[in-house]
Parts: sequence; structure tokens; C-alpha cells
Amino acid sequence: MNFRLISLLVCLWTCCASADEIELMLPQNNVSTRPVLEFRARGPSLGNDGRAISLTGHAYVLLGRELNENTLFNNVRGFYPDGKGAFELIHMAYGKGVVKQTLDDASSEVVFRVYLTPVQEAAVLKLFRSWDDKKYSLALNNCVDFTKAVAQVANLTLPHPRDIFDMSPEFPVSFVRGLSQLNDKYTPLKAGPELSTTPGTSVTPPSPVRSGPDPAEIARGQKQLIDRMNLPAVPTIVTPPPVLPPPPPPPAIVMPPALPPPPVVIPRRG
Amino acid sequence: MLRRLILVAIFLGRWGSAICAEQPHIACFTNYGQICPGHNVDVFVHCRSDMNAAAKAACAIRSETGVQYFDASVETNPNWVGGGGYCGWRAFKVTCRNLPNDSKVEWHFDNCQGADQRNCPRNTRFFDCAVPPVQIAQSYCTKDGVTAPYQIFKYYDRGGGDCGYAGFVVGCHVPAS
Repeated sequence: MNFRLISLLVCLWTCCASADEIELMLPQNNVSTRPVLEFRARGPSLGNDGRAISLTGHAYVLLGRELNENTLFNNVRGFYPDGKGAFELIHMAYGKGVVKQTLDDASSEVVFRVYLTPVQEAAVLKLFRSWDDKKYSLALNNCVDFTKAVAQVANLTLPHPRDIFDMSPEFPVSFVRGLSQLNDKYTPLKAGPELSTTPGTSVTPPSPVRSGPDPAEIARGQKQLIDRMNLPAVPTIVTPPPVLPPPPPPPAIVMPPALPPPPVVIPRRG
Repeated sequence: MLRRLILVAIFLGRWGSAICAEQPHIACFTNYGQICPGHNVDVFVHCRSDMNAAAKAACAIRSETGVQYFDASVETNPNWVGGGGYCGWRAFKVTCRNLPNDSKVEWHFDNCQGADQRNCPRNTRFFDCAVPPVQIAQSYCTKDGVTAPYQIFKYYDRGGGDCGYAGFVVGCHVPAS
């Protein structure tokens, strides 16, 4: 009796455990996320607004993943002179630099966001680590240069000075503002359906969770309401889909030859 | 004539750069992986699993920070069906679409995980059964402290022993240039 019961339980466990196991065995498999990069900048501060005194302002980046309804940032990174007090002042001229996050990074004046591909995301992470060993110099290698390097990894167009006297790309706020103006076509939309992006940015993944109400559900509800009120049905206007250019020819896929029936193998359980 | 050819080349170059990558796989539904015929099969799925879930898992690019699912389509072939074993076998084609075109994929096959290495018939690397699949992927795709985005899926699975054994295919996405 016990043996039968155990056999039945083992059989049930084997059958149930096998279903969807390819999904269950892998982590983070619930929500599709997109790598996202945000450029931020703040202007100079004299310390009277609760922030640390800064005569130059600061440019920095945030790297994260966009979920269905919010964004999860894993990294907030800016390039600073290393050390505190006098050491920081010395290193500001020329000295050891460090990639880090500060409390002041919570506030910013300019924000510009783009999508990345997973490969670009890995490259940005690598860049964060490599800049930890670089020398900081306010004149030669500062936080704006760090942000420029990140923008280059993301294949963005960098703002350039209009003439020899134009210093705006060298200041944090004007640099990020210029970056935003030059690359605003890559910025995700604030609302509404996502548009297809350029090759430099990530593609639209199938969304596992539909956002917003179901159009069919709305139509059904409207019909019920009309039926209840005995009103004449409102004709539905159907917008024809936009005419798209013909798709490119698919790459040749080598199909395997017809597979022969396999020998019947009786699986052995160890 | 030459100018026209150059224009066509420029057009094709631009067009080509705008095409997102596609990736074909041959998946096989069966009870045990060894029934699936041939080495063309690179995704093994248990016959009780959902075909679309298998395609979705195969077309997911993962990294240290998350996973991104890309479009996947499945195409069945009436000739790719056979009997035998618990539920026979049924192969189908999975095509991943709209993948980013800034990477090339380095595939690593035959990574076997199990209680006993002798049970892994095709493996070149053996992992203990306590090793999670992500760690298997990272062992291939991590270089200079950075883990490249990767695809990972199981191609072989069998019960028995302490933890049974399973084979994994790992694809590391490295920059194309």
C-alpha cells in the first residue's frame, strides 16, 4: 500500500515538476526589463540649498533596468577627485580619481534618458570600473569627460563647441542639455506605445504584462451600456494601419534534413 | 555605372545596419533529451512544457542586472515527429527576432550538470549539481570582471541520482566590432 502511494506521488511529482521547468530553472524570469541609461547634471551650489558647495556643478549617470511600470537603477556613478578636505583640493588639480555616488545625486536639474542594448550595458559597467583607476583633473579629466565617455559607449552624438569661444559643452548642465537636444530621438516616450528605436538602442521586447485596459473589454462594456440605454450603436472608426516598407529578405536558414525516426530508447533511471 | 553601384552599396549598408538580428534554433519536445535525434537540436524541452514558453526562454538575453525577452516565433514541421519513449519526440523551429545587432554570439555547447560525470554523454565541461545555471553561464561569459550578456537554455535533461543531470547551451553576447 505504502509502496503504491509513494510510486503515485513520485509519478505525480515527476510530471508536475517537468512542466515549464525551462522557465523555472532560470532566475529573474518574470518580467522583461530593458537596460536604461540616464544622464543627469546639476549646476553650481554655494551650499545654501542643502547641497555641498560646488563651484562647477556635476554631471553623472544612472544605469538601470526599466520594468513595466518603474525603473530600477543599479548604479549611480560620477567621477570625483578622491580624498577629503585638502586631499580633495589637491586631487582636483591633478590626482587620483574615483567613480562614486554622493547624496547630492538625488537632485538634478537636467535629465536625459536612453535605452541601451545588453551589450552596451555591459560596456558601460566595464567603463565604470576602468575609470576608477584614472587620474582626476578639473582641467583635463573631469566629471563631464566621464559622462562623455559613457555617451560614446552608448553611441550618442556628442555636443561640440560652436566656435573657439563656446565653452558650453565643458559645463555639466549645458553638456547634458546639449546631449539631450542632439539625441532626443532616442529618448523613450513619456506615455503611450513605444516606437521602434534605432539600431543603437535596444529593440522593443514583447511586454509580458499588458499596460492599460484591454480595448476589447472597453468595446464590450460600451456595447452593453448602449444596449441597456437603447441608444443607436456608434459606428466604430477603424484607422487603417500605416503602410510599412516591405521587410528585408530573411537570412538564409539552413534547415536540417528530414530527421529519421529515432531508435526507441528505454530511459534508465539511476 | 560605378556611381550607381556605390549608391546601391551605401543603401545596402544602411539597410543592413538597420536590420535587427534573427537567430534560429531547433528545439525538441520529448521526455528525455537523448531521444531527440541529431545534433541540430539545441533546445530540449520536456513534452509537457509549453512550446511558447520554451521559445521565450530561448530568446531571452540575460545579464547581471536583468533579463530582456525578445520576439520569438515557433514553426512546426509535420515531418519532425517520432514515436518512442514516454511521449515520443516533436521537433520545431524557434526563431528569435529583433535581437540587437551590436553583438556576435559565442556558443558553448555540452555543459553538463549532474551527480555523476559518467552520466553526461556529450559534455566537455562538467558542473556539480549544486551549481546554478547562471553560474555556468558566467563561467563562460565573464572576462576582465565583466559578465557579457548571455543566453542560456537546457538541451538535455534526465532524472536519476542525487539531482539528475542536465545539459546547457550558453551563448555569450560579445561586441561585434
